[in-house]
Amino acid sequence: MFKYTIKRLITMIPVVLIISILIFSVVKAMPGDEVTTYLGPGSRASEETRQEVRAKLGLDKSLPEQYLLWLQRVATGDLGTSIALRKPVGEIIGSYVWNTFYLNALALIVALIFAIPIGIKQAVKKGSTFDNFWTVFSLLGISVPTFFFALVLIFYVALNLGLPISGMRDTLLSSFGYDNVWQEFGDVAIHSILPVTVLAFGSFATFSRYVRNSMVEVINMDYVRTARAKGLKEKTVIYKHAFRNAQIPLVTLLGLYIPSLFSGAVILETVFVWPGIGKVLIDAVNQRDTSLIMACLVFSAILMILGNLLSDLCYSLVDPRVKVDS
Amino acid sequence: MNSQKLFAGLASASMLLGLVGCGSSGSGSSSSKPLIVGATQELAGVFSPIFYQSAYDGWVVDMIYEPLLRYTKDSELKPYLAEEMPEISEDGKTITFKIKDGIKFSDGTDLDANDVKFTYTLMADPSYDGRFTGNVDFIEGYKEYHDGDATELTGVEVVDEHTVTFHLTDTQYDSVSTLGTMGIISDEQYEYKKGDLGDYKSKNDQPMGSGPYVLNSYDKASGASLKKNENYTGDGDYKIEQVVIKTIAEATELTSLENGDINYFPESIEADIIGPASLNENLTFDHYFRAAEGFFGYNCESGVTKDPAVRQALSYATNRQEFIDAYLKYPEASDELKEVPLGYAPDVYWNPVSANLGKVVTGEERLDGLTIYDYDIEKAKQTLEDAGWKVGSDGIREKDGEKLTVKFLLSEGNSVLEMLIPIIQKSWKEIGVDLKQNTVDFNTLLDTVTPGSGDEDWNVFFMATSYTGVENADSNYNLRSNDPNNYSRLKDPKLDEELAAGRGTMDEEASVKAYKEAMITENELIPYLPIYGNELFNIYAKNVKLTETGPVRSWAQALDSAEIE
Repeated sequence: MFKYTIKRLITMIPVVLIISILIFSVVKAMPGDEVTTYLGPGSRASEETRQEVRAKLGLDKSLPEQYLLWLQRVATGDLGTSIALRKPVGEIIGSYVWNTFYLNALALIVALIFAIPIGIKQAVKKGSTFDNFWTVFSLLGISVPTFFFALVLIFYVALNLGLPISGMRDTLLSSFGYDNVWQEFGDVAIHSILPVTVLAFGSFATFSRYVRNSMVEVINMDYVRTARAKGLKEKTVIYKHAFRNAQIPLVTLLGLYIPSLFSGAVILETVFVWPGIGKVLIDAVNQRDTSLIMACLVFSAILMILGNLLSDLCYSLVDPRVKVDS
Repeated sequence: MNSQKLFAGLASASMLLGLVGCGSSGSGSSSSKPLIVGATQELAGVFSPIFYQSAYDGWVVDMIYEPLLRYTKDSELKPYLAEEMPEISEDGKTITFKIKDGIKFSDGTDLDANDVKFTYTLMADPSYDGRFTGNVDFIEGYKEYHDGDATELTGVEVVDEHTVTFHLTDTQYDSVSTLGTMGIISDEQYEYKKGDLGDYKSKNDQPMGSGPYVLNSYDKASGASLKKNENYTGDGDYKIEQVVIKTIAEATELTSLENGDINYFPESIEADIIGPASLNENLTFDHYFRAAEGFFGYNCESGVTKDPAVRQALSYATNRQEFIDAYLKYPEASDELKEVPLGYAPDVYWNPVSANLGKVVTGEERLDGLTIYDYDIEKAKQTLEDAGWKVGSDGIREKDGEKLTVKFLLSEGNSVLEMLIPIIQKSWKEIGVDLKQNTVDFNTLLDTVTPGSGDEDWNVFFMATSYTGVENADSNYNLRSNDPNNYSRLKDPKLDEELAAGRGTMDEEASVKAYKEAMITENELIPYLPIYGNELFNIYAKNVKLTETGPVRSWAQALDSAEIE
């Protein structure tokens, strides 16, 4: 398994390189100009100044040269400097990506806590009112747009319950200091309620559908009948025997979910003013902030590949038929 | 002053750029309640008077840095750090400011004439790339310092500790306000060597001025917090201890106000917010004339709009009043709000709060000879007809085999355009114009219309611009040939002369006379069609008092009038 992992990791390198070239070409193909962002709208800079800035940012070189310079810098661990924020890209990503991760991970956990038992129960009681209710519920979760659900919560729930609607922390408390760590914990928790609800609603829908469908398939298999015939308790049959096999598609899905833990949720972050990386990326795109766009996108490409690898590795854990070393 | 800002529409001051009912229970250290100001766009964190770009960053700059002169609520320029209004020589080329005694920066060091010189030296530095070059390039010795080997900016003379004299190369009518309204930077906070603003720039997010507030914290996503400057030496009585600028999402402005996330939402023009707010019993508002306008810019250098007749015809065929009535109408409104004028179609593209010509813009004063583009389809058709644009078989006019195709550059997600485009689509078609739209994001729009972009495949764009002073000089930048801010690319020697004459005198009468002529020339050639101007609203919780705001005095400059009960 170790060997296999190393091999996969090595094949990753050319893939990431190709992806980075693609992203670089697309970013550079966008209309608009980094110099404008750098100087700011309404700048009275003369054409000479613009040329000076162009040279300073290295934009006067040919595109392949610019790419190679970028690659060279990245290879030495320097992700570049954001032209809009005038800060090192690494620092920017570092300070926002964990907020996104926290939000997505929490939402995923909440979604799974509900989706697994409900999905299983739906499969067991296939066709019942219980099943139908949750089917409709999860269809809603899949089809209602995030921003719409978020705004509904903001307008009709937040005000009545006094829940905060923007940010991750109370501005006053966070800027002038918390009294103790528990106050900070509570503050972040209460700010998380609405965004986590919205995110979890969507993921719950997806996961409960998956769990239900794969359980329905498994539950009629011979070995489950055998388990029942052995006189095992229904709970053991369902959770130990049936669910173990129903987990396989779930693992694929979870593996694909890993990159989105660090990205995703742009709309949600905008609506709830969550200090996450999605918003940073969107701003970067709007401002042609090449270094920042490159870093964000290449980072999520790497995560996507790692997520795939991870779910392949996990197969061997849940499915004894799969052996990765062979 | 003269720091014009551009933005996509009027919806957000983008440029061109809270808490949960806990009251002040948290920090406990302060007795007064904090002012929590909502902003629908993030602060960029460039809190430098010489580098900031967005209006939101400008708020922070205004609380921390102080200029020699500042505008009052009624748009009058008054001494601020200066003891009195400056002494000006007859030719206007020598201007002397006396600085008040005992002014200190927040680190306790003195603010004196050397700091003023330092501030201007930074802007004259060869590596300076901010947008205020126009504020220094008329100071003597600028060229020598910026392009040559001069070791200092000789035109700013430190006479004594509290006296500084500016020696200028040109007479400029607006020089007092240009030089007077710049925030003063401390020369002791930075390591500065000519040609290297690196140390200064790296401290853009660590501002230090003489103002009533100091920066407490800043985070790009959530906003900034400021607290009172304990070493404040000015005379203002600042009752608010803490000021927070909090990022909120668009569409949540009212909810944020209602649940106490914010208690002040400044500078709104959106009828959807103002209307309902006026009926909300927990909220109140004030308003004043807005120092801004939305406008069309025509490409005067290439394509069909190179022909002035086409620009005139398109202007006549644009029903601005219909747009204003539709766009600025409140869905619901209190009786008090119904009294407030909705907006107006400006007569000319010019600073609407200009001290001596603003009334011409709003139409309160009519200027003989000024072409006014009131909606008139027949006149539009006639203008095209006279210029040789004949209706072709498909209803589209053509001249010398060229179709009258107008390419409109739109910025995405702009609520103004969503209402305006259908209106002109109909009327422009009626006069035989084939309207083609191209939607891009704001950055691309700005980049395309900036002269020298190399992209001339457009005829019209829409943008909004705001003014931070009461001078006419912005028009010099927007209209004169070859200026990087002349997006229309109009090149007219007569207009250049008139603009230069308007600016190049200290005599108000002569200046106004020349500028009026420039207005007449401009409107004849119509490089820009102003679409609308309107009122600006501050919306806030009823317990907030913040009275001294005006068209060129934002809330951030008026906090000595603020109180929260």
